[in-house]
Amino acid sequence: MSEQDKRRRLAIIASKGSLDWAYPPFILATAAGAMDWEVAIFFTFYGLPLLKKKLDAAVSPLGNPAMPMKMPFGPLEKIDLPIPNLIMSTVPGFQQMTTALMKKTFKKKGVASIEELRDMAVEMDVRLIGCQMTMDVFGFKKEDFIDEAEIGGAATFLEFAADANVTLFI
Amino acid sequence: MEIVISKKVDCRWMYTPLAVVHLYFAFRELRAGEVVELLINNEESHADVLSWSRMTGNPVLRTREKDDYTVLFVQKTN
Repeated sequence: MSEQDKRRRLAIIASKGSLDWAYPPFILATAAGAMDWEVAIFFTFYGLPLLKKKLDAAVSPLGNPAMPMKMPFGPLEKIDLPIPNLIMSTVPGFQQMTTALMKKTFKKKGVASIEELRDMAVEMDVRLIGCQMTMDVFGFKKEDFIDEAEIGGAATFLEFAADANVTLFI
Repeated sequence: MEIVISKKVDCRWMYTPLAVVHLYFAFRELRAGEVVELLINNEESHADVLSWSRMTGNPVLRTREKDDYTVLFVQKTN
């Protein structure tokens, strides 16, 4: 292969599965795919559920004091009032509400959903590698994941990352 | 020079990386030499498309500023 034919390469480890942290791997993977880079994402630990057929990524304000989300609708939209996380985040159901608010705000603002970004990544032939160790520890089966997911380990990722131009741990 | 548009892609009200992703998918349907008319309305998308253009070698032939959005004419070269 000549130097000219060599495609750039992006290698990502996705280790977090909450809704907010699910965005960076898929945004960067699809941006790189759009530039015709070769891309692989290695899903490990809490990132692994991002391979599930039905995504259920949520976001919690608990322990996340930087979360600046405003109310996406209603009279509070104009006010710079962060979703209160100090007391409210321990109230049952609050995480579900925060997740719904974040999804609603993103959709309203024109941000793609994680599902949409993942579909685009698949369409671009981004390699989606699930970590076997995490699967066995947390009790996931290959059938739980989308058909395009492959199974691999640390060496699988490193072999790909060895020739990567950009490598990220997220 | 008259630019012949092969495809129009409206990425207004979209955020990163959607402008370049939609460009990529549009270009997959086109032949070399054909041009996409891309509509965007934020700086982020504009910066993204210029980076994408430099990385892929597909040039932005012309930029047209409208009242509340920008039109980029992007040509597929390979």
